[in-house]
Amino acid sequence: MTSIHKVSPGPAVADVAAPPQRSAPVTVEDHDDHRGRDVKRIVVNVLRILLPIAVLVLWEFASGDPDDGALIDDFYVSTPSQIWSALQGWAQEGVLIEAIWSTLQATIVGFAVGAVLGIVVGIVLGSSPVLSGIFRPFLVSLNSIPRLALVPLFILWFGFGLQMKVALVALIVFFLVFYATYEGVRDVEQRLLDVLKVMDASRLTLQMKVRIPSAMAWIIQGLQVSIPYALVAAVTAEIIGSNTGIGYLIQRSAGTFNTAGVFAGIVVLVLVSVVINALVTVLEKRLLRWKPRNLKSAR
Amino acid sequence: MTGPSTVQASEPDVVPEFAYRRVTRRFRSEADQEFVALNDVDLEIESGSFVCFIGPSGCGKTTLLNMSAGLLPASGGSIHFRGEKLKKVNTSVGFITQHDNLLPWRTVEKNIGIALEIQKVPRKERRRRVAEVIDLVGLTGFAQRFPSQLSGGMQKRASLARGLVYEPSTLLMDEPFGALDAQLRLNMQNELLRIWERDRKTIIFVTHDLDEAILLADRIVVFGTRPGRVVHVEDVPLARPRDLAELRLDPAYGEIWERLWKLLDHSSPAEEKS
Ligand SMILES: Nc1ncnc2c1ncn2[C@@H]1O[C@H](COP(=O)(O)OP(=O)(O)OP(=O)(O)O)[C@@H](O)[C@H]1O
Ligand SMILES: [Mg+2]
Repeated sequence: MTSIHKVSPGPAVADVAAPPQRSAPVTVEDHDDHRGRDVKRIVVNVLRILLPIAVLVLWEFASGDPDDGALIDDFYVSTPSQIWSALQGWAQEGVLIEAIWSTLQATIVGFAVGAVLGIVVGIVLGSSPVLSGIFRPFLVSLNSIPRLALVPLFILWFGFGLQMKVALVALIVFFLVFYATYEGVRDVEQRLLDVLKVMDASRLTLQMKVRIPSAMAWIIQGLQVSIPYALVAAVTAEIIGSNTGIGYLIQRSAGTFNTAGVFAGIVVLVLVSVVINALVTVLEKRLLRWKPRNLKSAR
Repeated sequence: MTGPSTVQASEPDVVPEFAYRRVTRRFRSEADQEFVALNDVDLEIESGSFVCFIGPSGCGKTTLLNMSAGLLPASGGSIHFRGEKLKKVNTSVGFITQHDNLLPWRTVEKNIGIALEIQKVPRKERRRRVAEVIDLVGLTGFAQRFPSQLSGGMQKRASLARGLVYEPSTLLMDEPFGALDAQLRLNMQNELLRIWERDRKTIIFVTHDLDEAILLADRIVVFGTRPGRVVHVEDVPLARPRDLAELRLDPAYGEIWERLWKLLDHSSPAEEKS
């Protein structure tokens, strides 16, 4: 809480020092093992960088005009350089940032709405057998409706703008987060609840101090799983019927047989989702610090 | 026992802390059969007394504590707590369970302080009292660790501290010192006795250690298995304060020890036939 405690780092657990240099054959093995692992790590890291470069280079040369003997027809699969110039074109036009922002906006707002609703409904139903008995069948049947079938309805209701995208994203995120939260809250260990009950904890206290923290791992997992879906939902909504966003750029490019544009859109999507995932991982580590797995990796 | 007892003497009959009347607990085992974990327990626990439960593994000691805490209903019979029939969770007891039930997402300090949080004790006082018990159980320096960063014995001590910190008037302790080393165990026994002599709490203390039981208890309740039941209640009239080293030389101690040892010895193999 206060800053006093940040001083105590508790170094004993984290890293085991390098093995002492004893003469027994066991140590030699140990040592080799260590070096072997180091070498492996370096190889992995180098290949991680080299492989994509190699793929890009190969791709660049494999793709082209089939009449010139290229392996892949660049009408269907554009070369990396073509994709790059498509991206540059969008950037100059000013639509790139605008599209990314538009998609992100729909993703974030929809995600927030869906996540909050999912968590709240999940906690309420998860901790009340009565409410769960009443509403769960209803939610389960709602869940079985193919989401995309609802898009035309959303377009009717909300038009082609942000709201329609948000509605679709929120709907998809809601169910994922709801199920995770619901299971998490029900998964709480009775013995932990019992301990607090004996201490005269109110229902609210049990909720706040046991059920919700205990479900936190599940909730975070649910949120994490639903983030890519949120992005997909936003882009899908844009492809089906919108006039903004990355999905719209992809759709527009495809409409004019601009393959490079389609690929450029996909590249942007990949980058956006990589960034989002990295942020989520950082957040998860912070929130689930108490998990043994996370404790070990903490410095 | 406690000074001029004119007030107490005028009371007709003192209400016991716990009164068990033919308490039975059955569990449904797999093949839809009933399994009797505890059969017809008749027992009274006097207020302010230190009672030890001892008996072979699986004889229903924990089950009886769970029922005393109101966490498990009896299948038959009744439990009265301070004269009133127990129907819901017994919030007047502190329950130190056999397995530590620390909340894994809270640090040691916040785990131990949780009862005080529930009682809305101001943060400053909470910190002070938590620091005190942390010191008492020898966990100084580990306040900011998470339970998964502690050894088994340390987790045990943390849950012990959590049960002691809010000073409940009655303590149910299920093998609280089981995982401690001899030295620490001795310290904790002395601390517990000191607390008990100071506050005169009622303490029910489950142990597998006969020496520990005789050292601590006013009365020892011996349990037997198949079905789990009370086979014997032994009064321990040894003078206090007790010291284990001296006690061992006392013939009265030896007598009690012998008697209980035989009971414990017999209660397991003799019943195998059933
Ligand atoms: N929830 C339960 N469901 C089914 N059987 C149970 C349950 N709880 C306890 N039992 C059974 O009841 C019996 C008594 O268990 P209990 O935990 O009270 O024993 P114990 O005396 O505390 O043993 P130990 O000294 O090993 O802790 C055991 O045979 C156990 O298998
Ligand atoms: Mg037990």
